[in-house]
Amino acid sequence: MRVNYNWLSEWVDIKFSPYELADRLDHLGIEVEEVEITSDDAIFELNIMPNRPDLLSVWGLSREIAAKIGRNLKKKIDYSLPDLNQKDALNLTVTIESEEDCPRYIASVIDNIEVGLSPAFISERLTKCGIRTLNNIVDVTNYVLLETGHPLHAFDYDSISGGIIVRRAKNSEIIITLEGEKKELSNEDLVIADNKGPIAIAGVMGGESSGIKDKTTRIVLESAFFKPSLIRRTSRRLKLSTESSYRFERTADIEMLPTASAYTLHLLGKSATKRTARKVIDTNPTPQVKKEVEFSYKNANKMLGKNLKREEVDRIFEKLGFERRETDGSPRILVPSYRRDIKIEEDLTEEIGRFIGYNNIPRRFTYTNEKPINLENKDIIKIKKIMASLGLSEAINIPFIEPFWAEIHKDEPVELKNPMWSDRSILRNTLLPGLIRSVERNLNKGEELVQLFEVGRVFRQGKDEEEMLGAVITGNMPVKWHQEGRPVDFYDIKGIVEAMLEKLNIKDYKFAESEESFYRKERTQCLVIDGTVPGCFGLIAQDSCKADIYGCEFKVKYLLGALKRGSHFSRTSKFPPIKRDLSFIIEGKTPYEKIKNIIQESLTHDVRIELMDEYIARRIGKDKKSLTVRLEFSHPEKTLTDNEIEGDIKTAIDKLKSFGASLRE
Amino acid sequence: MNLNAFRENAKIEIEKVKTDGELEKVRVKYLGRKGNLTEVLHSIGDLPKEERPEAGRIANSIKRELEELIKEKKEILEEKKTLLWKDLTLPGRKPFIGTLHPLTVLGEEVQDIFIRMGFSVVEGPEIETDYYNFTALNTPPDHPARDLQDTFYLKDGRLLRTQTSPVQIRILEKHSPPLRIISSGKCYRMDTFDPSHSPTFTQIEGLWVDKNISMADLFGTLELFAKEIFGENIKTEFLPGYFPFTEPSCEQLIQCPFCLGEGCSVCKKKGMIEILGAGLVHPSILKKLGYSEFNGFAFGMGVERIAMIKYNIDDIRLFYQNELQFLRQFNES
Repeated sequence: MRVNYNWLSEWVDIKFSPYELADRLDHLGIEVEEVEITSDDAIFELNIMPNRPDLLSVWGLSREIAAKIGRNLKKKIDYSLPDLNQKDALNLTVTIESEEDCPRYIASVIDNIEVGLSPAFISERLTKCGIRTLNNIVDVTNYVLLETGHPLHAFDYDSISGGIIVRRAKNSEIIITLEGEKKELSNEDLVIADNKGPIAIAGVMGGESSGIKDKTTRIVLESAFFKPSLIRRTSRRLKLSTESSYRFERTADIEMLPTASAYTLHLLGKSATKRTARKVIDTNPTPQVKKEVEFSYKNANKMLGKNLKREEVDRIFEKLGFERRETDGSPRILVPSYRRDIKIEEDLTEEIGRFIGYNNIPRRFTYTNEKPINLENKDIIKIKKIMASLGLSEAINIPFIEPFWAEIHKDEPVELKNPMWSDRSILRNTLLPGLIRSVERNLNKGEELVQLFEVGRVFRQGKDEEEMLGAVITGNMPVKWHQEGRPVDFYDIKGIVEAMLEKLNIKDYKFAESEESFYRKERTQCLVIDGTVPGCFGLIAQDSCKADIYGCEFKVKYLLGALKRGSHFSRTSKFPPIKRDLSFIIEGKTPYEKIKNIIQESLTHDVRIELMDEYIARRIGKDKKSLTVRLEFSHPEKTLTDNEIEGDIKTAIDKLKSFGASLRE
Repeated sequence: MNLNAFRENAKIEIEKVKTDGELEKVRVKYLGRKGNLTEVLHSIGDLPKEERPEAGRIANSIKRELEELIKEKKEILEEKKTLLWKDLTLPGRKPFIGTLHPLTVLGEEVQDIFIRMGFSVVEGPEIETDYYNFTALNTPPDHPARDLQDTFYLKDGRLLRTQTSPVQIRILEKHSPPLRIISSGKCYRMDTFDPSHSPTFTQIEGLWVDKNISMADLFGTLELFAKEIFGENIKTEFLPGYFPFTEPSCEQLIQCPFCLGEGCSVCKKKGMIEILGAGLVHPSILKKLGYSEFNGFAFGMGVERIAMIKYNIDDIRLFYQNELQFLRQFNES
């Protein structure tokens, strides 16, 4: 909301600069977004909290400022509506279909109107406050809206056929708004209608047909109260947010209706007509009962952590126009109708806090001996730190992805009703699309080697959201003075997975064939821990990717489930191991894992088997490969001798031979 | 004395020598004028006459042998002293260094501060129901405060949480007070993706429920937090604010680190900059959960916002674009 300094000064004696005023407003919780200084004035752009519609006016703001600086308001608006029973009254009826939708409606008929330009003081203030000037009728209603906070509407009396009816719209009923837009209404919308159809969307915007025209000579001035939730829903559905709907949906002050009407009539008398109203209808003139809120000084002090005296509190209430009524020693506070936000004693306590200033509340901190709940531990950060220690950098992606990713996994996607980007309309069911996006961005930035990981949730329809760990690597291991460059390959991602498992102290795992269609089937394996498959890794099968991207993705739950807490020491052998290298030629597609198992099974000693070399060359033979494995024999109690391992080596060689291997000497 | 044993001992000692000094000591010990071998040679005179020539011969051969060994050792030690020239200004063989995301680094820092203050870390779902995200937090349908949080809805009627505050309700449904919890995670709001907005952001939520919690506890705790994260001398203040689920409500501000309180475009010339929202938990929320005799405070902060202030980042999108050039700058983990 925009409001100018001079207008506020007309209401309250502000003895300080616009910037000082802005600071005081800030400390009341009225956020000043911007102060615009002009040659003779200053304009404030304010951000009013949604529970304080009473501050959406010059009057309301002045009330608050006056209370803060301890001054009285200089100006008053206390006009009252003229006598309702005039002899020469113009004919008008007002029918309210539901008092719940519209508890009060005041219609005033005025004639001898001359439509023209507004007086300078009106158009100048409207402009400063960011409202377009139209003509002396509409401008006055907007002026009153800004000053009192109450929205009014003016109809062309002669365009109304029959009386005014406040009713729900019929489904598919059409209205052309003042702005010339056609809107289709529903039973959820409240309209002002005549016997031909809607003439205004209640509280939101007038209709074109009943608007003020250059030739208008008689008008109906509406000052009403509409049910806030109705106005809000309509405004949102029709995407029509106006100064009027903004205030109505935050709850207007129902007691302001007659005052705002009378004030408008007064201003119209100065600028557009020489006659006063010819008829006034008020559907519910009985004033509302003031709300009473129970209050305890003791509770308030406890809540604020202060020790305020009764008189200090009473003074604040008095400044705010809150009356105190004491019965049986327990005070009750009578709240003015415009303070709809005050409902319970905590609300009153906040007012005390606001007016003494939050910075005058003491600061306190006490430690606790309570046992922490610790529902979640800090294992996730452990995983992240491991991945970073392996040379990958952590990425965080916005989890919106294209629907085709879900099809790859045959997951039922979680679809957004109102996506941010129309092509990225589902929630991610895998972390990889986001990581691929990040990889591409980095490649475009000229990065040679991109290694990223992400820990985050994925979503599948009908399943709980699940924490995943994903990683991608692509590009080239860099050329260095001490090493040659080479493209990243399958064994790099596998190595990262193995190292991660080692750091997580997970030992009982194996790799198996993977059917994960996310990866190229010739370049993927899956991880198996205790019969479960936390995930797979491999070369990502995406034709759209510019580079070969190797990735992995695991369910964090399974990784953490397998994590062995606390290391366990077992005595290491004091005696050095004895090492033997075996080189042999074998059929090219024999898996190393199989060979390793064969050797392992044939041994009687504790042996560590390590692959030293894999060599494929034509001279070895077609579809053959040469492998060199190192066997490390150890014994807990002695140094083994050549003789003692001879038997083992012989069985290993025999087994390998029976498997088609020929030993290289 | 057994000459052979003498020789073996001497050989072992020479073998063990690592420095010139040690070698000289060993030489003096065995071959010096008052050395062991001299003693041996002197003692030959005590032997029967016929054994003397043989003993003398052996002693002299041991002497020569040891002199040879010492000379060899000297050469070895000498060789070790000079190494081939290498260009030591070449870069080292550095392993790859990965980094944690700044939101992780800062999020951990924030969480750890509150853990030290006795808070427990809990979690909640990112997909929420309207009930937990709004209604249970005093924001029923048609509440104007819903305007402040444009929501992503799912086709199945659920929504993406717009704040971490639903965790408050979920925890209190399961655990009775007194409790202090902290929860961090992704939140979603339908915003444009521009330097100051992102559809995803990270929030850290805190909740402390006990008997007799006051604004003084809230301010005290948050002031401590600000000092921990921004430094002992940071100036903080509290202004009234509004949240449907707290009453009274406030915002915490710190002195603008960009202009040090002078007033600049970042702080809108106010010299202070908002870091979080907070307040005493609205009594109706605790009442509905059956904890009328308790009260408490809650606060929520955007980690991106704190990170932008702390690290001087001017574009929120950088957090979600994952450029290595950006990520590599956050190594304090």
